[in-house]
Amino acid sequence: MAQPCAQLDLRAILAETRIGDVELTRVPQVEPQQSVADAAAAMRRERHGSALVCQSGRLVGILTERDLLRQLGLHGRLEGEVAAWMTPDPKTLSPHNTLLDAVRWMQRGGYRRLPVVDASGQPLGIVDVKSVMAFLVDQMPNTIYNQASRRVLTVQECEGA
Amino acid sequence: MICPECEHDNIPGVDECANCGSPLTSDAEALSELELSITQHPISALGGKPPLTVSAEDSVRDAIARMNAARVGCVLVEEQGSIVGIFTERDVLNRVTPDLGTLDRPVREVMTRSPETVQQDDSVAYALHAMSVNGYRHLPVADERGRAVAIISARDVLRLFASRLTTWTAT
Repeated sequence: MAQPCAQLDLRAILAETRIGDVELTRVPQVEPQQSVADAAAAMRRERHGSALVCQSGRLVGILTERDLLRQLGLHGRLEGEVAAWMTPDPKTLSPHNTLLDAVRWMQRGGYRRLPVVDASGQPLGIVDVKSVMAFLVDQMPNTIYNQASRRVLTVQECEGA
Repeated sequence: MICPECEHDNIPGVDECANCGSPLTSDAEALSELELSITQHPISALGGKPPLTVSAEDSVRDAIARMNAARVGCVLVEEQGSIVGIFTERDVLNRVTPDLGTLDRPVREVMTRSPETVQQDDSVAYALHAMSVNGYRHLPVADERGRAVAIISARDVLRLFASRLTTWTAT
């Protein structure tokens, strides 16, 4: 089962893999004038923790579940427009960037997700920490999946609740 | 390490399979430096963060306030000193934003129960497995009595990878 693999240079693989060649995570798109509550509903519907904010097809911001957390903490409700709570003009990648570029930006800028836009500013999706991890795991499946039968400690469910 | 011949699950580091005697070292030698590193490094090497914890009876509103104050995306929920749940910003999106009445309910009603936990001496590869197979972004690190000692995130793992990648660039 376990196939001996040649010396694996992950860095070279990351440096050679273009963002345009990997499957991007699709996230909901909303407009800046939409309500935050609507955006939250779109995120729930499409099962993703962020939404790309677009105007006339161009990316103008990103709204994440952290922004919702912040608003609930401050006001105890979701109100107002997306524009007031989004991060405007987020750092973006182009399809020509490499996965190594994405990793560097995630480290340097502390970003968990990076929107990918084409030359006209139109969003194509995002690259997030999870998708980079999934890519890395795919490069060394034996090492990772050999961990499968390791002890799994799951704490007891609390009774009655 | 799983024996390629008989699939017996051996303890890490042994040279031959305890069940059928097949050599296990050839595969290990074929692993890259990074792969060896993540199978040998314990989770404690990731650093992780001291966990933010709340009691199961605390209100959702309080839990959110704590998360915002600490600027983190999740809290561990404890009962009598043991982890009974995890409450993340994803739970806030999925279970709180559709019904804001939950803000005044106890966090145990909206938390994710019985999260999978890891221990400090489990390998980084094991944590990566748990995260990638189940899609978890956070993994609580518990001691042998089920008490929370740290929380690790996908980002901590990526940071380790990135630092290794950078080291390689320099050499």
